[in-house]
Amino acid sequence: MMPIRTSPAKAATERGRLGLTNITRFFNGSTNHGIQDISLTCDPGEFVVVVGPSGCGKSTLLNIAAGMIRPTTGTVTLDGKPIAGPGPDRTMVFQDPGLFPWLTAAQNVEFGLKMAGMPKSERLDRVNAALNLVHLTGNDDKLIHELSGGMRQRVAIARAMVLDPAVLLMDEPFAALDAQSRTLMHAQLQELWGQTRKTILFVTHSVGEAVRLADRIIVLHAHPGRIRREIRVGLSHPRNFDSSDITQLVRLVRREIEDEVNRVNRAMAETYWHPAPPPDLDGDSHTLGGGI
Amino acid sequence: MASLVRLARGRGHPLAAALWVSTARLLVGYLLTCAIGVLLGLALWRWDDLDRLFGPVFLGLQALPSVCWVPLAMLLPLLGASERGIIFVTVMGSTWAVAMALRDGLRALPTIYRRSGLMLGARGWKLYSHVLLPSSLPALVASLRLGFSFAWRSLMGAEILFKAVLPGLGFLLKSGQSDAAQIVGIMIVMVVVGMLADRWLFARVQARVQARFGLS
Repeated sequence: MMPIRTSPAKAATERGRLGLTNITRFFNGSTNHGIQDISLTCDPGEFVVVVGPSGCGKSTLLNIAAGMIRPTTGTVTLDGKPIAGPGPDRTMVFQDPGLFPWLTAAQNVEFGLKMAGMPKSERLDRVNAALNLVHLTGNDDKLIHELSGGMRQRVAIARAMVLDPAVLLMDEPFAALDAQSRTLMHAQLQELWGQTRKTILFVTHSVGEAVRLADRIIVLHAHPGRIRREIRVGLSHPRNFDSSDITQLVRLVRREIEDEVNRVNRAMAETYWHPAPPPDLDGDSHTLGGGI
Repeated sequence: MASLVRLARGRGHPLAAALWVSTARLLVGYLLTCAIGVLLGLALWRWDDLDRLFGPVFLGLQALPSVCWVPLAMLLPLLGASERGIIFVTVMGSTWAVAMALRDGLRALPTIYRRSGLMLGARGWKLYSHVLLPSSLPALVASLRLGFSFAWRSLMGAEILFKAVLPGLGFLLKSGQSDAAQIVGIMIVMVVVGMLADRWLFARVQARVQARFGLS
């Protein structure tokens, strides 16, 4: 069990190098499904986003990084050492917050600390700091069913962050939220990452989300899952979500994925529906879905 | 009818005594049922092989009317026509229901609790005590509530059929013979006891658990 560090701010710069080497994982014995030979390194403090169509294996990849699933071949290392199953050094935020309904928000956040054997007084301070980080101070005693979807996800993030992990793994955490909440969460996550500089490996199917948040975007093939392209996003932080740089980049990455989706559709069906591109009204491309 | 119930109460308090005896037996039998049923339910949920082997058997045993256990109880050397025999029938008539209800309830638990627990560093028995058991509380309470009504029913059946033991409510029912008023009166008492226990104890506990979990 990794010792809990007491100085959160400096931690991220010296630890949090996540290495995935030649990861292969097949399902149903078939070599056409799953992921094949994926290698990826996340540097300490880097925000990496994996984007791809449904079924490309991005969640599988994340679960392998978390230690929940074992790869068929390949290794996962954290700061040079191979991982041994799930643990508080690589915490996760799932699409379903997965909070414990019999505990209050504060109790949920302190759960990991309790498992690590931290004394109560120290736990209290850490929990308050974590709830503060996600702007949920004062909601300590609320039960989970009393919180909105966005608030629950913030508690889940607090729960993952309070353990001072080396790497934060996020599996489409905002997919179940409405568009406004999602934009809010992007801003909050950006702020949180700016303050703590954790290594984050984030998985999503939304291109807009990837461009808003990432230092580096990994675009994944499907059937089987392979890395198609890596894109470095040079935009500075914090980002203005409405800037044209973002819109342009979204268009570029989208095209990559749409090609991929069409290729898959063509392979899987005789006919496929490709919607006619909307008229370009004022030069700025109004892509389907508003770029989110 | 009500007047005859009052009569039964007056004659050296046989009703009170019978209530006392029946309740004591219920307590012992029900606690045993809970202990065995919960362990069995957990085992069937945890080990697939056990479930494949014994699951259908337990399901069948659950469907067996509790009185059918009486002849067996009479025969078995350790039991016979004694208090132990009555407890045996009570337990046999209810423990399977508890086991199956718990197993099914545990199966319905979302897997994300386990994954969250693992991710947060809960291992081995801590995963069970801090994550799996608490998350199974609604299912556990529901199965224990079910087991209670089964146990009460089994007990009453056993008390009617067993001879030469302390007189419980079942005995009073039988001893009524041609006295319809006493028979119906005792039946009312049986129903009321079951209802009250369910309402004052189990329904309350279940409501509190469901409120905590946000299920109601």
